[in-house]
Amino acid sequence: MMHLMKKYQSVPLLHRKMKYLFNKSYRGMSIVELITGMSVVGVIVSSMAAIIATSVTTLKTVDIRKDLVMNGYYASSKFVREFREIDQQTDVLVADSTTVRFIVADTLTVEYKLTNSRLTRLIVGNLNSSVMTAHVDVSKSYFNYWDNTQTVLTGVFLPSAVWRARITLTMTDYDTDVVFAADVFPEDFK
Amino acid sequence: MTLIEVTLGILFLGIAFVGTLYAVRAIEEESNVMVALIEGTAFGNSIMEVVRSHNYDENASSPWSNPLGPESGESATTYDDVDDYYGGYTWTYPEYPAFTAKTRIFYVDPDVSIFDSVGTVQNYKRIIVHIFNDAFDEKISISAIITP
Repeated sequence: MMHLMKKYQSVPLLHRKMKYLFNKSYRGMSIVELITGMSVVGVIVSSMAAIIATSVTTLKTVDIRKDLVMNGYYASSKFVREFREIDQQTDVLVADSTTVRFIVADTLTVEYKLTNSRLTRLIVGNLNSSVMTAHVDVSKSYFNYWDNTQTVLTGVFLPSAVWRARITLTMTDYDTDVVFAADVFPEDFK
Repeated sequence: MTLIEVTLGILFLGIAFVGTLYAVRAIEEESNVMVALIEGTAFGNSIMEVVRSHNYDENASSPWSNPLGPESGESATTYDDVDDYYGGYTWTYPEYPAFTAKTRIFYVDPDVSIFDSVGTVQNYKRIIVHIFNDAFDEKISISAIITP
């Protein structure tokens, strides 16, 4: 035993390490194994990345759509609530496809207008309009009107003929479109 | 690494990945349902406004018509009173292509029940709008009671 130990210690340390590294069992991976491994990992990662990217895009689209719907709902609800408060048909002062002006409950004259990618609300007499919602595709958004026989009013007509109104908002953001429509009828017209 | 270790690694990665995808899908579905509920509510409110913008009845004064429903020769474009939409009239709006709605109108007697039809002529009509969409399992309903 002592004889063997002496023989082992007589081998220099560096030599022992070199022997360990070049031992066949600890030689590491061959280039073929490395390339195969990297290819497999590459395929897995790229397929995962594609699916994750699709998921992220979908989530982003859903989020944008949600925002557009919420904004459209808020803006159209505000219009509906105010238009419903009109007391009589003669209180509808202007009614065309982009603008509607009316007197709310005999107290306030307001104007809703589709302009510059926005739906705006102006209290007549004030200097500035408030923006009810942005991201509006004005070319595809409009106001419609019906008379008391439920006939659509087209062409030139008297604003006082309006019995019911509808706002249609086409909202767009990052290639996502949402169409929002709301009808309103002032109960006091009856 | 051994082949077993690599296989196990890929397996765990796959499980984690599927879990993540399910989570993303759940978020997406939840958002879609929320959006559908808002759109459906707006759609239902619009229908309610359209129905309410009609006369209470075909007759200008009591006695009101019975049975309810459109008069002969009337079509959807010529409906002139609320109960013309009485029996499951189907509504579609091009603005809401994923939605359909049905309306029911019937007489109610508030002294008996504001919810159930009494079948006899009353000064109260209940309007119910049912809104359907694949995003939600159950229909959503909006209702109102109108008087002459």
